[in-house]
Amino acid sequence: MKHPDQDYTIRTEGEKGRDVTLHLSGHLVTENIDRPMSELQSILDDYTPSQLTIDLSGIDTLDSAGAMALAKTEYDANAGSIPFKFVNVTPRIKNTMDLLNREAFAEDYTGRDRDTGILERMANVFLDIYNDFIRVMIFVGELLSAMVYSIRHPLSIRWTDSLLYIKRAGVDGLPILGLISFLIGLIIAFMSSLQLKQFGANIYVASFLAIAVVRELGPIMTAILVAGRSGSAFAAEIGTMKVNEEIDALVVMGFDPVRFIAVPKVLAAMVAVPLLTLYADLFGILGGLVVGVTGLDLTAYTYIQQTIKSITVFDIISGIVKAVVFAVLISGISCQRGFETGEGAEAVGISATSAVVSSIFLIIVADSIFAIVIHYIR
Amino acid sequence: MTPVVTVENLAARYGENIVFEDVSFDIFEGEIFAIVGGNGCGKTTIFKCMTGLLKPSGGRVLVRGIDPATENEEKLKTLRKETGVLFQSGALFGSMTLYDNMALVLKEYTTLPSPVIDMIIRTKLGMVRLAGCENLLPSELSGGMKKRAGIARAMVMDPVVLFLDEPSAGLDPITSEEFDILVKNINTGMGTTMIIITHQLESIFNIAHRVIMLDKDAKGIIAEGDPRELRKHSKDPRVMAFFGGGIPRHLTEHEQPEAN
Repeated sequence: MKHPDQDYTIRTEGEKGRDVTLHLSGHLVTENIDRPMSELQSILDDYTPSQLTIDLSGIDTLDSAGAMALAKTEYDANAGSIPFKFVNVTPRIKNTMDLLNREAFAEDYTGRDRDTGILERMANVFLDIYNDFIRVMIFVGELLSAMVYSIRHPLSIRWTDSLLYIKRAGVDGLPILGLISFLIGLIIAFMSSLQLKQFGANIYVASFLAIAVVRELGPIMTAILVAGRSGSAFAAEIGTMKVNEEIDALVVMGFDPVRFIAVPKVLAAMVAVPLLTLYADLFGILGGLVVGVTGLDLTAYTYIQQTIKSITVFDIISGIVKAVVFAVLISGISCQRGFETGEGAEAVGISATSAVVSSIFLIIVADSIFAIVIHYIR
Repeated sequence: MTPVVTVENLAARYGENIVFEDVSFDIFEGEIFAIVGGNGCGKTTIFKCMTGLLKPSGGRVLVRGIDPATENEEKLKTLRKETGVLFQSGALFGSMTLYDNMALVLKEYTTLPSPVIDMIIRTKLGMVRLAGCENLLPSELSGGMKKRAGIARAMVMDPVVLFLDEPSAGLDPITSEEFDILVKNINTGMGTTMIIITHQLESIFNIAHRVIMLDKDAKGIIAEGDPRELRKHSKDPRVMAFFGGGIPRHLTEHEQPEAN
């Protein structure tokens, strides 16, 4: 039983360089163990005894940390070739000391991580990126094969799940997407009007906003929002299934997890994201219309006419194509991150975060490629 | 002999459903005390009451004189320092290495310098045969290793009382026996009082000094004593069935049905 004051004493008997006996008494317990440990160490260093004896007759309480302190002194004495013994060891103290693993005292003990150099760490980072790329490529292959199978066998697609995900990724996201697009349209129209007003070019606010929203902002804003809302949800859902061994259950029951879980999500995103993009375009333009009518002395009719004149069918179609590509990237990478989930609650969080970050990265990369390709096609 | 844990007229209910009532027993210093019984008899509920995770609906539990359900934060902190708990799954923090799992407690409750904390952790892991595993994450451990790491974490402050919830569940017979030996060694070596919730008969007979058996229908204790004595001398058919390995003893001794 532990003693509340946790006090101890060490009485030294003998002279430096000769036989030394240490009489220990009181309580050697976890809470105070640093003090007796350093005291024993300094006695050993100062006295450099020809023989060291530790008398344990006065020990009242000794827990495993206390036993560790004694064993460490024995270990250090042996390492310095000093003959060593314990005397008056009660059976209880002996039992406690027998539980200890003396390897823990060794200087070259390698239980903890060794320090790695900067080059090694950099190499490990590149290796991780390379391995991640390989895993993503493998998943792309599996997903493509599952999609081709699903297209050839439409009845194998879990349509109920697809509709559910269309609702979750699409319909449920309408209010927030509408609000954000409206406000972005409003802000851009307002900011651009400050400049264009100076040249009396108020009407071009409508053109500027329409082109910016339909070609770039609509698809990008929608994709980022879907990545945040649905990408993380896909990864967390699949990750939790992985942690609960549900994916393994699917495999042993003969299902292809990618076809069973990922395909409905990818199909749902392919339907929902383009529709959401058109919706975002509409609300972005609406935001500009509010600024045009209230701040630029334009009529609603003039603003809408100018908007229609500025955008082409090609702009709208290219926006939709982008949206489809973004949808595949978001849902694909999110599902992949979900399937890659490790063990434990934290791993699910990591997967969800990674899904959003990777999705946004891929969206930006894909958008850059689109910008170049569309420039040459046009 | 002063009891380390006292349970007085304990009652627990979930809504209208009474789990048990009027349960009383004492656990003494250095004892390995097992709480056994079938599913739904309230073993885990008693465990939660004793560890302060659940407030009983009646009666009280005193662990080293402190009631975990009603005491103030300061006393509870003292109690937490003097008790350790091994959960069924090990409940190691998945995001932390074994080292960090154990250092967390030492850093919270002591002012020991890092090298001493390092050494305590190494020593404790060595005691449970996990020397060198400090840097592993729980996900990198097998089921048996998780249990041993869980006990190392529970023992990191050298508690006076150790609660173990189904320690052998999910372990193979050899690992389970090794775990029993470890529990016994810790009890003998350090005099730790141990309270074990378990179903495993082998484990009960191997290590428990004393046992209580709870019953779902009786809503309380139906047997108390040395498990070996209960197996030999109990006349209660429920106790006979449980300690006879689930088959009434008259069948195990005389009238075993012939195999088809």
